[in-house]
Parts: sequence; structure tokens; C-alpha cells
Amino acid sequence: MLPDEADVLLVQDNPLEVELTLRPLRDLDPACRIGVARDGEEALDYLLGRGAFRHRLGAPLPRLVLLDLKLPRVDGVEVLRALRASPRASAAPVVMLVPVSEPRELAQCYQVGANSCVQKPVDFDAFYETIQTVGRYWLGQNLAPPAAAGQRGSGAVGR
Amino acid sequence: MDATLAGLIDGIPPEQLAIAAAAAALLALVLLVALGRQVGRTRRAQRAEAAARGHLRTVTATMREGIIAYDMKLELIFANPAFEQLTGYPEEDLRDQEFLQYIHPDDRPALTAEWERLERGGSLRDQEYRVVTRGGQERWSSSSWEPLRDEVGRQIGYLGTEFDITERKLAEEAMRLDTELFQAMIEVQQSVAAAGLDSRTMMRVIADRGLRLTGASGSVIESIEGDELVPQVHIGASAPRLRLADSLSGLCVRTGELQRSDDVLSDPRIGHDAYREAGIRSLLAVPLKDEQRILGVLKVVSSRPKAFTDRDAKALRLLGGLMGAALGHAAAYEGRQLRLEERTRSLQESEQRFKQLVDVAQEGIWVADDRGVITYVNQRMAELLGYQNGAMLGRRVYDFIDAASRAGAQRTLTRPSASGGESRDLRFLRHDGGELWGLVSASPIVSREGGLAGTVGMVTDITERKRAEERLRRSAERLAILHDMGQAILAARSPAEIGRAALGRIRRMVPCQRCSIVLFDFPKRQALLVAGYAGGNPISTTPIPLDTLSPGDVLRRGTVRYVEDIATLESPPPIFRQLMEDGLRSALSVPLLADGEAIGEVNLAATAASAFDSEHRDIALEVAAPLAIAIQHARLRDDLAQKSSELERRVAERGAALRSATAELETLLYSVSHDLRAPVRHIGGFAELLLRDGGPGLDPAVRHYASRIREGASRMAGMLDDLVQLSRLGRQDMLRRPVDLNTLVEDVVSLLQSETAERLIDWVVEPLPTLECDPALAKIAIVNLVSNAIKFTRTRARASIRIKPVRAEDQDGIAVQDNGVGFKMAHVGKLFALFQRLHRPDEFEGDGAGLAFVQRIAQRHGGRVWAESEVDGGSTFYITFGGPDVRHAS
Repeated sequence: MLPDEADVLLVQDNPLEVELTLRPLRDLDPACRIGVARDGEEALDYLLGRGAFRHRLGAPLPRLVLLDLKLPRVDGVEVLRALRASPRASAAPVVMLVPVSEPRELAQCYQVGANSCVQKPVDFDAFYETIQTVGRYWLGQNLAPPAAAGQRGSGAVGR
Repeated sequence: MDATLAGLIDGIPPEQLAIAAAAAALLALVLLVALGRQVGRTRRAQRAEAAARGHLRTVTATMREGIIAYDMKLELIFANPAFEQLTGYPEEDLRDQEFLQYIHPDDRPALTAEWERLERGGSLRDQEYRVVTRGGQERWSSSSWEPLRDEVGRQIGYLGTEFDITERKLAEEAMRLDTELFQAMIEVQQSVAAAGLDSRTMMRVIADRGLRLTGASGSVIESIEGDELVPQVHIGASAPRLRLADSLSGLCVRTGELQRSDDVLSDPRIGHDAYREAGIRSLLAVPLKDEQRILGVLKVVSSRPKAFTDRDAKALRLLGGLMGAALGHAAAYEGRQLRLEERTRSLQESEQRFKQLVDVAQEGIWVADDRGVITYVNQRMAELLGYQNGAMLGRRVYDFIDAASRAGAQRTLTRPSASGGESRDLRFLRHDGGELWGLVSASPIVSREGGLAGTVGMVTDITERKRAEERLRRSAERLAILHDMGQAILAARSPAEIGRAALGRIRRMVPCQRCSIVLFDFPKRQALLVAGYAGGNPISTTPIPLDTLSPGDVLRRGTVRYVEDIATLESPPPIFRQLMEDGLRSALSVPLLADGEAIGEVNLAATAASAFDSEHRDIALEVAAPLAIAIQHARLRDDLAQKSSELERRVAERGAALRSATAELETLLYSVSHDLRAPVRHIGGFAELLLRDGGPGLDPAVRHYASRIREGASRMAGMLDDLVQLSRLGRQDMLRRPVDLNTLVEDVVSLLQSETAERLIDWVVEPLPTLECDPALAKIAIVNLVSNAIKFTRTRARASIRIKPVRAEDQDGIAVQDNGVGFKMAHVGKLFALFQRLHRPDEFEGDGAGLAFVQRIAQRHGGRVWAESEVDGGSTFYITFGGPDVRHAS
């Protein structure tokens, strides 16, 4: 599920949800490389190149991280906080997928550095449209950070 | 999945409703209790006044004293029946009268001048004034005025008690006249005894006395000369010579009897015009006689018709009698130079005449020397004190006077005032040990040298009056007790406090060394001491078995029990043995009856045998009656307080249960609305993918079912959004501020109007209130209501929507009225429940959440929603937001 290089990293534990989220992205661009992390830890390991993904250390960041708010073990906000704190991957564009727009949760997401927050509609047609809109923008219009942009501070210079 | 979800949601409202309904019922009960107190606080003044009025009206209904009460604004609160008897004015007439109008205008200022003391909470006692009755008569009243207070002691008005003392006043007046008369007689007597006075001087004294005693404007003494009456002395009026033949004086001489004319102008017996010329209208004439002859006439005249009373006639008759003798004596003395013996005899005759006169008097008369030793008593005096006439002679007058009155007596008798008008109430001791209350006046006997030779005392029996006054005092005391008890009830005192107050009253009126109030507890067969005194000290005991007092059946009967002498009882109950050991001999028990049931008794005991009489029993009974009511009241109140605190506890418990149930439901609602989102999306998502990916070759049945699943999931998606919304309405912070609903409604209407441009809708928006509410929530509620109105008038060619203010239960709000399809009022209960719809989806779209939102918003504001409608007759929906229009509720 996790190629060494991915355009999109989807962080989602529910396989049904994964399948339904991949579909609109695939329909948008069948060539798109999508990685799926099943929980927050795996996502961090992948992005930060540690644990099982030590070999990815220094690999390019995905152009879009679709991070679900509710995750087992380490939840979405914690993943984002760790990500933004890491010199290696702080610049990764992260879109938070939230079940409903709870003001308190939204505030928290933005506070720890979400690039965008999107509510997942229950109705599939609406959901499909939403995911495609997100993909179209972040993979199409949005200019991704340069390869070295995520590398900040002395650690980055030293690499 | 559908079934589960529906089950969950369906399950919410009924359970919540059931708990809420139970809690509401309990709360209503508590509120009633609390409301009672609240009303008491906010309307205390009116309530206290009404209670005082009702209470006083009851207790004063049978009293013999007139009772009248004014409030602080000097408006009549009430007057009792006895007051009507005194004044002749029924209560309703008094209500139309000025304050204190029933009091004689001359006497009123004296009372109102003192009124300030009442206003400061003091009292006015022993005020005597004249009352003018409805019939125009004057009656005398002795009154006392007290502040009227409510149960917390605050003054709410004035309470007057009026005793009718007209009889006493008349008696006093008569007494005063008698005293004057008697003084006159003594003076005459002294004149005779002195014998140094010439007859003219003596006549002048008599004429003067006659004038003063009768209140005449003139007096004359005429002597007979031939066929004429010639004035010898005249005071205050001209005195023409009159003929014996055609004058009333002449008639007096001819008949030897008193003559009286109430109006000389129309009196046929008078044949001359002398009186008319002198302006005289009425007269009294008595003959002056010695033993054989008529010497002349004593006459008093007045410029008023009907000026003389029977009393005046009596006075003049006595004066005339004495004067005649004196004149005869003087004439003889002057004419013949009486020998000493003759003079003495004449003097004795005169004294004899005087004695005859005083012996038949209604008053007791005594004469004492300068040391107070009795030298003479008349028959009446001896009778009054129950002695043989001679037995009192030679004893000091003070010996016959009660020790408590003696000091006062000495003052009166040794410093007799010259006028003789001063009188005093003294208590005499009768020979048989009884009492005699006498109104006593004393006159000096002046020796020829001008010193005090002794006193003449005169006694009117006022024992009855004194007893009547004592009865009045008692009934005033009884009124005080009733008032105490009433106040105790109003002030919500405990049984013990009420009992102590009652015993205090009883001890003042009934001589007893021990007293107690016990309450019976028949189920436990115990008697509980409420209050008690031994000597002056409070006593307390633990409950004692009922049998100690008396066999239970006797107590239940609620009868008065009186044991004259405990020592004579053959087998006394234990309590009596105890009393006997403590030196008590007689015991009186009166029952406390509440609704005919004996709830306890008042026990009195005294060290003397036969210490109590029927009056003591009556007093005890009179105290017991209101006491029983007061105690019963106090017990009921305690009971109620206990029940209400029990109720409050249960409500608190149910309230806690309700809160936790509500919290659980909120949690459930939240998780349902959040956690079901993904599964529902998956169901719809995969059905959709099945349809897309299946392509044209997909089995038509599969395609059909997949579509149905898609639709179901889609609908559920909408419902989940509604649930999220509802959950949020319940949790969201409220920001209350004054919101002008005119502006808000204008916004909503213009927003919705733009969406209904193709429809023909008559909008009417009436002026709306400004309310304290959360503007965002209020807007959601109003949008929903107005949207519904638009939706359900869709079938009308010309829709009509009216938005107007509404007021219910002191809350303001708005109403949205339409001319749409309406609904059956039978279904109104379902209307505001979540996902309840009264129309088929193909008639009107929607999933039945909007009115649930509206209701939730109203509830969060402490307001409410309701609706009125009829099928095809339009609907009106109402919402309030928990408060009044802030523009009015300054």
C-alpha cells in the first residue's frame, strides 16, 4: 500500500473508507501514485523516514497528505503536530478530513498547522465530488513546496 | 441498520418525555408550596391585612365591646356587630364616612391630637368621648386604641375598642348633682344652726343653689303679701310682682305642690305676659312651707323651653323643703326673739327634718368628726354595708374601707374640696365579708370659726358597675388571648411557643400553682408535654403514658374534668398521686378540641381545695379553643413542611436522574450523528460504485436494488446531518442579548422572498417585540417557521403569511400564521418530535427535523412552542423565548 514515492498520502484506518476515497482520486488521474497509511504512527514513520521506512529518509514528500481527524493510536491532530515539529517534513501540504464541522476541532487543526480542512459528506455523490475537488486543486493548481523546502534548520543544511 | 437507527431515535423522545413529565408533575407540586411562600412574601401586606381582617372579624363577632379597625391610610378595615349596636351605624355606612366621624365633633380633636402616639406604635388608653349615634343621640364611650400588627409585628393599622359607659356617665352626673344638693342642704343646715344669718342672706344662698343645681338662667324667692307674690331675692332674671290668681307661682301656693312649665308661652295656666316680656320660656316653682303655712315660692326660670328635668324638680323640691323650715325658723327667731329652749327645739326639729330627708335618700350618707369617727350614718349607709344602724357609730370610717382603698380614702376625706364635685371609687368591706364598691364624695363641715369640724360623706353603690367593668376587663383580656392565638397562627410559631403564650395568659387570670398543656398521641398511648409551669418555673418531661392522666377513653371524650379535692379521690390516677405529694389539692382539666377530636388538654392545679370556679373553667375553655386551633395549625404546618421537603428531595433525585439521562442522550445523539456517518457513506458509496462499474450489462434487478440502497443511504445521510444540527443546538453556547425581532424577521423574509419570487405571497409583518435571545438560534427557529409557512401554502394560488407578536405566561414571542393546508389538531403532539411528518414525501418534501429544531431552540431559551391549525384552514405556530419584551420590562 505504501510505495516509496507517492503523490498522495491517505491516512485512514477504515478499508472501506480508503476504497471509497481512492476511487474519486483514481478517476481523476489513474496515474496518480497514492499511498495509504493505516494509522498515525505508520503515517509519521513514512513521512519522517523512520522505523520500517528508514530507507525513505530524504525521499520527496507527497504533494498532498489527506489526514483523517479520527485515527486509532495517534489521532490526526497529533500526527500533524509531530509532522510540523519535524525539520524533515514540516512543509508537507496537509488537508484534514473531518466528519463534521465542529468549531473547536477546526480551530485545533488550524492551530497545529493544517493547510486546509474539509468535511466529508455522508452522501456518496457529495463525498465523491468533494474528494475530487480537493485532488484537483492540490495536485493540479497548487504549487507544491520545492523538494528541499521541508528541510529547515541545521539538520537540513547538514544533510 | 435502518431499523436500528430508527429504533434508537424513536426510543429517545418517549423515555425523555416520561422522565420529564414525572419531574414536571413533582416540580409543580413543589412550586405550589414555594409559590405559596412567594406570594406570601410579595403580597405580604395585603395578605396580612386580609388575614387580620378575617381573623379579627371572627374573634370579635360575639364580643360585647365595639371593635373598629382602620388601616394605615385611615380607611376602615372593619367594625364588629357590637360597634353597630353602640353607634347604630352598620359597617357599610362607616365605610362611606370620614375617619372617626362617629365621634362627637367637639371630642374628636382631643383624640386626633394624640393620634401621633399610635402612629409611633404606642397606644391610647382610657379615652372618654361622646359618640353620636346614627339616630343623633349622644352616648359616652371609654375607648382604647392600639396599633394593629401583622404576624411579623409590623403595624398595618389601628384597632379601637369602645366600651359604652353612658350609664356610668349618667350615674356620675346624677351623683354630682346629688352631691351638690347635699352640700346645699348642709349649708342650709349650717345656716339654720348658725342662726346668725338674716333670712335675706339665707334666701340668697338658696336662690344661688337653686340656680346652680338646675342650670337655670334665673331664680327667685317670692313671699306672699295679700293676693300677690312679691320677689324677695332674685338672681339672673327680672322678677315682677305676680298675682296669686293667674300665675303658676300662685298655683303653687294654692296647691302646695311643685309646678312646672315646659313652655310658658303656650301654658294655659299662666295668665300674664311678664315672662314673655322677660324672655322666659320654662320654669319650675316649689312652695316654701314650714309646719303649717305656705310662706312663699322658690322658682327657677330659663330662657330655653323644656329646660328642666325631673332631676331638677327633685333638687328644687328638696331645697324648697329645707328652705321652708329654715325660713320659718328664721322668721320666728327674728320676730319673737326665741328663748333658748325654743331655739334648741326648733334646731332639733330642723335636724330631724334633715335626718328624715337623708334617711330616705338613695345614697348612703355618713357624718364623721374631724378625726374620722362616725357620728351619724343614714339607713341606706347601714344597709349598704350590712350593719345595724347603731353599730357603725363611734368607729372610724376607714375601718369600713378595704385596705387597698384606704390611702386613697384618706386623701379624699381629709382634703375635701370646697366644690364637693370630686368623687372617688372606694372598696368597702361589708359586715358579711362581701365587697361594696362605692362612688364616694365628701364635703367639709365648717365650724362657726371657719375650721374643719368634720366631713359628710356620700356613697353611691357602684358594685354592679365595678363588676361590669371587671367583666369588660376580662373580655378585653379574652380578646387579647384570641389575638395572641391568631398572631401565633399567622406568625407560624411552634406548638411550644403557642403553648407558653397561652399558659402565660391563663396564669394571669386563673390562680393556679401548676399548669401544663399536653398533647395526646393515642396510637402510642402517650401524652406529650407542650409547655408547663410549676410555680413560676417552666417544667419539662419526657412523654408519659396516657393512663397516667386518666383512662384513655375518658381523654378521648374531650370533657372538662374538675377534681375539687384530690385527697377525697378513692383511687386517683398516678398523676393525681404525684400532685398530692407536691401539695396540690384541686385540679382542673379542659380539653383541646380540634374538629371535635380531643388532641390534648390544659391542666391546672392549685394548692387549695376547690380553688377553681365556673369562671375559671370558662376562661380555661376560652383559651383552650383558639389554642387547640393554633396547635393543630402548627402541627399541620410542620407536617406540610416535612412533606414538602420530602417532595423536594424526591424532585432533586429525579432531577439528578433526569440530568444524567439527558447527558446520556446527548452523548448518544452526538455519537450517533458522528459515528454513523462513515458506515452510511460506505453503504451508499458501494451501491453507487456497483451501479457505475456494473455497466450496461448489469442485471436490471441488481441495478434496481442498488438504486434503492443508494436512495436509502442518501436519505439517512440527510437525517444524520439533521441529528448533528440538533445535537449542536443542544450543546452550543448561548449568547443572549436584546434582539429586535422586527429586524430579524425582515432579514428572514427578504432572504426567503428571493427564493420564492415565482410565488404569489401576501406578507403581513406586524410590529414585533425586542427579546433577550441568541440571535443566531432565534434566526434558525424563525427561518424554519417561515419556511414551513411557505412550503405548506404551496398549493394555494395566493398564499398569505402573517407574522405577529404573541404573549403567553408573561413571555413575549412571535406567531407565524399561514393559510396553508394545515393539519389535524389530533396530531399536534407529534408535530415537534424529530423526524415526525404529517404529510407524505410526495406531497411535501422534508424529513421532519425543522420543528424539532424550533422546539429545541425555544427550550434552550426557557420558552416554548405550540401550534394551532385545522385541516385546509391554515396553521399558526407560536414561539416564545423565555422572557418579556425588554422594552417594557424596565
